[in-house]
Amino acid sequence: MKSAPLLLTLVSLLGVGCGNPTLFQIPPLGATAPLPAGEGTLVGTARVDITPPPGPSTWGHGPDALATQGYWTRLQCRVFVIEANGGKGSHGEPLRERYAIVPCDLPAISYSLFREVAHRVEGVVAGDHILLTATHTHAGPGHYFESGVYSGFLSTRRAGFDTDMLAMLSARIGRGILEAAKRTVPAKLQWGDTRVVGMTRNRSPQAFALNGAGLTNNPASSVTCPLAAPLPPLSDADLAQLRIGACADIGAACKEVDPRLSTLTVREAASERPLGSITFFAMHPTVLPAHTRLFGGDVFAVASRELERMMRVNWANWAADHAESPDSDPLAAIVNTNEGDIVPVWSAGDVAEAQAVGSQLALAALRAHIELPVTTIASAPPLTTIATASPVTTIATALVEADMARAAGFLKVDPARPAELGQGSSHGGSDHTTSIDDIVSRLPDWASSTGGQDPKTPVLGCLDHPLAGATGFPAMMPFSLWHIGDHWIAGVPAELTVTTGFHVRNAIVAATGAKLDNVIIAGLANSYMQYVASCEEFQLQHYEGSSTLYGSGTESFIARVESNLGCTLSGGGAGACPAPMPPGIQPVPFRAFDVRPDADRTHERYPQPRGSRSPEEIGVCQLPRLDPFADAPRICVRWLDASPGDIPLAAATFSPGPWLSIHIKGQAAPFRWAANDPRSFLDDLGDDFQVRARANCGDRGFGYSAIINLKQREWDAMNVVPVVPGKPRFSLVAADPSVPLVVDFDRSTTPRCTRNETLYCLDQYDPAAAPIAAACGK
Amino acid sequence: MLVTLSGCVHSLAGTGASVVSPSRRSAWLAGVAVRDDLNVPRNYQYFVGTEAILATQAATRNAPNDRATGQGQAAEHFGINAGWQRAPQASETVGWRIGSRLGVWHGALGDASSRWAVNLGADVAPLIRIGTTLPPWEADETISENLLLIPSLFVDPLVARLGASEQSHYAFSYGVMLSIGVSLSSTLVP
Repeated sequence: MKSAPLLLTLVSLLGVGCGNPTLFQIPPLGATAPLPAGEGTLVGTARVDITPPPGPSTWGHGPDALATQGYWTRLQCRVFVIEANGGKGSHGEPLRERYAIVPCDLPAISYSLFREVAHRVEGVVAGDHILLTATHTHAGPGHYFESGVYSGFLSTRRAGFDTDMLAMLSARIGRGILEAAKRTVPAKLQWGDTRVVGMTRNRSPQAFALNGAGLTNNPASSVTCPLAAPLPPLSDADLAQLRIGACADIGAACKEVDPRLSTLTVREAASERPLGSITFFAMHPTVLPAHTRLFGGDVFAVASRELERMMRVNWANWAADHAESPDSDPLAAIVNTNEGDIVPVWSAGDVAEAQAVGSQLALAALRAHIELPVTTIASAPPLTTIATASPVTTIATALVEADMARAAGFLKVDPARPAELGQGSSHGGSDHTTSIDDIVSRLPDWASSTGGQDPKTPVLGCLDHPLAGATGFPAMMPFSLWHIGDHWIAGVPAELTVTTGFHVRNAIVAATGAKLDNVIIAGLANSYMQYVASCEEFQLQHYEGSSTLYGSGTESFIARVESNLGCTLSGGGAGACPAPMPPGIQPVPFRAFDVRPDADRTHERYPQPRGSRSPEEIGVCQLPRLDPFADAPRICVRWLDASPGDIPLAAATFSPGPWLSIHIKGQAAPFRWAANDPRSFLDDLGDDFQVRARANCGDRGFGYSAIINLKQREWDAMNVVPVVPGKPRFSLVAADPSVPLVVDFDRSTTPRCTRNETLYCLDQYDPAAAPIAAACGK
Repeated sequence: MLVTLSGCVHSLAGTGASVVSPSRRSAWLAGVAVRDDLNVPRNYQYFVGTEAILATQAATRNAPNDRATGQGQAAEHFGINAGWQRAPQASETVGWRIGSRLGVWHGALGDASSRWAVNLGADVAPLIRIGTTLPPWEADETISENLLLIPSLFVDPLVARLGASEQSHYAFSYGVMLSIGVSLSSTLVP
């Protein structure tokens, strides 16, 4: 008995950490009451900045994804809240409801992020009226996925789930939806459609070629793929465009794409002021390399900014008295469609090329924008290629959740391990192969059974499931269908290949009677289960097929779900209603959901505050110009500032404005480079800056650097400021709550960078041997 | 090789321990220890490991009159450890370990006789990273190693046949261990 206290102590020590691993629970969502009856459509918008401070990893390239030290473009969500008539109540009565469409510069949407956002806006927008999508930038953050395979080891170089990251993203997105709901104004919505060829290619042409090849008679496989129509070939007009540009030499791969580009343009009803646009296009938008340490939105971020600029300029030209309005901030959101095997045509894979491809995409997308009948933008094509301009008067949506683990019977996979990641997934896409590409076999394994997923070979063999953990593979998948005007949008939590998308669209057409070209896949929506290859493509087990977690039947599963939703929305009368919903479908409203990630290797990835300090300049110099034919300078500024957990990106609760902006020296207002664009500021909200946190300088704070890489048109506008010999004309101003930092520069007065400064600014040095004076000053 | 990269802490220590019986007989042991702790994959907050101590009885007190004090006699310990541990990453300075200990002692414990004893106890230690703290973007190498200083305290109830004149078979040991360790981890190994 004397030992009892000691034994109790011992038992308590042994019990440390053995409790319930649930980190938190997302509560159930109740129904959101319909709005009072009303006429017309109201729309509110909000721009949300979701750029994390330096430190978390990028996500999308597996273990090649590195911890970040800053950002190139800020990451944003563009929120559209729409209030409209369209849905029907339980007794068939017409409903007026509120909807939120929120495309974000994120790699993907985790189920917990979707649920957290829905929880935060409960009572304003119903959870099943939210379409939260990701552009699929691979330079966006990770650490907010509850599934072990997406937050556990091999998910990034510094893997782990982080509740702070999930909280930051969901709080800002939720706040954006609430803000947009407060700002609604009567609006006009119109669809425009065009076709874009020559910018994209198919990255898995061998798998694509299997479609429609009749694999049903393959004696080596027990798999029977339903014979489905292959993707129709491009039109002669499309093919004519392929003969010029980058695709001229690529051949067939450029023809195996989805060229449709559709844009929902939103304008204020009374004034015609553009509120924004949502463009749908199929492009896996990755041009930046896997090893980037800067957050950024890649191609779509550039395209969005360029489209927004063109909308602002067009509006200013149309209504000059509105040009200076602070409300002239239209949002150009981009939603990825069936982009699983569709990539941009690129060669260098750097920031400059991402800017070039993004600008090209913006010009192409402008053709589908229902713009005012003036376009004076240099090099913008005339607005004559719009195929349709259909107004939107009604909106309706339906959403169900699928528990994929309960659908094993339909999917014909092993119920004990319904999800498997195949060996081919470790190679990466053919456009961005991983660093272990050459050491992993490329051959599917026909000999061994993998629980109905033949010929998939699990990437880690028998260790796949033990290592991924109890919540290793994502299972909860919301599927939705939206009917907006004469277009149908299928919200799918995956990356569908172009052929899978075609098959799903056909199923929706059969159920709704819609026109095929008006049926769009909104991929990467509300959750994420990686790729969905067609049944035939799956057999080759290339990257997309081996990344189809739930097997070759996933395509049929999605088609069945979406056609049922189409049948529901169209009242069952427009087309033949298919067989009932597959198993595993959960009713809405949502149940409580445990977020139980078991992938946290250390602890928080989201930088924590350490106490603010005032910024202090270290130095400024001119880097060698990238383009010898342009004379715009490239400036590198170094300074000391607060820790990454204290800079505006981390401290703001909603949408931090610019941190860095260029001013004419001595002027308080930031410089505007285009007279007809009220928001043509040169700041870190655009794509001209590369901002890096560099070194922990102890009591002096953190060392930071920024490369200002001005475009020639911007420098031409700046350069009209009269020269004062020996004195710089411009300043970089770092916003700070206490003392702003002002660093002066000019092409003629700023010294050229030394060798060490150049290497340091371009991040081309061994961190262990960093020139400390460059990082922290003297 | 893979196992040693999977979040391990290997350490070499100097240790001092005292064994006290209810009759206040005590022995002071000094020696060296080798300890290897493997973090369990997936959440990496639990570890299992082994420990070996080779010690010498440096001093004794209140030994029974009929016994030689046994000063200078050897004692060995082998044990297994398990518990919670978070080794500091390159971006951190301090981690912690709280563990349980199960093992056997063999050798002199307060007198000159050699005997077996079983211990079941607990230890606690801060894991102090030696070196400058690195920001996350400099701390994501494929394979990383961190040098650690680990001052630990342990307490172990013992069950042993201490001698004919003892009333009890129980004793209590406590001690300190000052280790230099290396933490190995790889982002490519679970």
